[in-house]
Amino acid sequence: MPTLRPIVKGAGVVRTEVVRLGPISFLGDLNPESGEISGVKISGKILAVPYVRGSTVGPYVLWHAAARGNAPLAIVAKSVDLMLITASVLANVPLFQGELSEECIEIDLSTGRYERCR
Amino acid sequence: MIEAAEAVRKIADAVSRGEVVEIETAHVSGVSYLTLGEYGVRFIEELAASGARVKVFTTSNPPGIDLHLLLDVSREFVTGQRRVLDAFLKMGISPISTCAPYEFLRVKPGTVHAWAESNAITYINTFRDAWSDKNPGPLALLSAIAGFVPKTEMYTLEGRRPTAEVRAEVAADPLKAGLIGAFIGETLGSGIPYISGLALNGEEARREFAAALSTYSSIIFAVLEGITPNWRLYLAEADFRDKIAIAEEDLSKYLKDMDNPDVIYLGCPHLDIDTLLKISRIIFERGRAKRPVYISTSPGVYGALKDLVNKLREYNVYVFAGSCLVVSPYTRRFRAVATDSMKSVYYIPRLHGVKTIPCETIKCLDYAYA
Repeated sequence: MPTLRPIVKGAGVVRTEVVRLGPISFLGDLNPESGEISGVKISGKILAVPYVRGSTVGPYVLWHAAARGNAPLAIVAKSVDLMLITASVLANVPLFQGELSEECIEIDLSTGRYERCR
Repeated sequence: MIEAAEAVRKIADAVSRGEVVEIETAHVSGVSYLTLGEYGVRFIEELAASGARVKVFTTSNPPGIDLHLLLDVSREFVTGQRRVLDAFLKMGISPISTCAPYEFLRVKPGTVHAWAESNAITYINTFRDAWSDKNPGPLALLSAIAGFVPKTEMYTLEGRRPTAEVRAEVAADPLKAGLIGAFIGETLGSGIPYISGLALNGEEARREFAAALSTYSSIIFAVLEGITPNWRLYLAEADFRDKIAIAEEDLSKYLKDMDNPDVIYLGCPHLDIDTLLKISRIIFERGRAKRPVYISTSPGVYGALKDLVNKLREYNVYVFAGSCLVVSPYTRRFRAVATDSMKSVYYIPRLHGVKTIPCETIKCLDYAYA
């Protein structure tokens, strides 16, 4: 079974859609009141990005999205940095390092082991 | 609700195998209501309401309103901004609203700090050899409360090893220092440059160099030969993978001929006392400026030079304390800002849609009299 490297671990197993986007900035790109990034809903899904960029206040925006129940179930990034990790910890969103090509996966949020939805 | 020590430990689990290191001071960024927005404010308010207090001496970045309300912003903005400042006071954060806390804090070589605000981090790493990583605003705040920070590579000698050899035969005033910082930043992108041959003329040039370097790259530490404390130690540890040389013509690409500014802005990062006195002398000699000059400084410098500041107003020169044009919505009333700060040149168009014209300090003042 393929495995993503857990950076900020969660708990439980979820089965959900994967939304793949380019590099994003939480500040400016993510609307925490709607859980959308440029019109694409990310809440309740797995957000896959190469990396995040932009302002150091970005973690506050993800925190707000989480407080409104609009955070993604997990974030998968090709490269992670202190900003993305801080955002994930504050918002309590599990974070994994790696890449996903699947449209939908079932993933163990503590180990990062996953399989394509059947 | 967020428990600070637990959150810092969880971040440490992800970045430093759980290792943390105690800090002496912290400096918090993400203070302006403009950049924080409602979400950031609520986070900070909830933290303050939970009873969190800082464990170490902690300073904060400039908010979007200045201390004497020279910058006229909306009532709504003032209300939002006050909520942030009230929460900071409640948590015991020192109300020295400055982007240059190194002016007041004599942080010593080898001491450990959790600072946010890239110019300040780069300044203390480079000119004091005090150790800080580039902490996101909320992490610096949580670390101030916890009293420790994740022990990332920047908090180890190995992680501070120079990675690029830079030869710069340049003597730099503030603008040129900023141009060099921007050029090194853009060329290398990341890593730790070891720079020889660079003469930075004065404190203001040091500040502009640190601010530009970290604005145009992810670099937060440069070793300057003969200047950075312990530079010999860092040279011995160096592991050069890149090598660049800088000539005067490399710097000209940032200087474009543009239309006339409607305002001149100096003081990003906040102007120190000597520079403010120097600029004042030039202004008093030349008389009343034709175009307004805005100068931002820290509350400490403002307080010390209050009479001078009042007199400068008659010369169409407005000194304000505790804020800056980068983070204040006041900036949006201008069309084009002439400035000697490369950090402002980068951020003002992006945050406010206002043009910027980079100029040497003295040429910026020439615009004021043109």
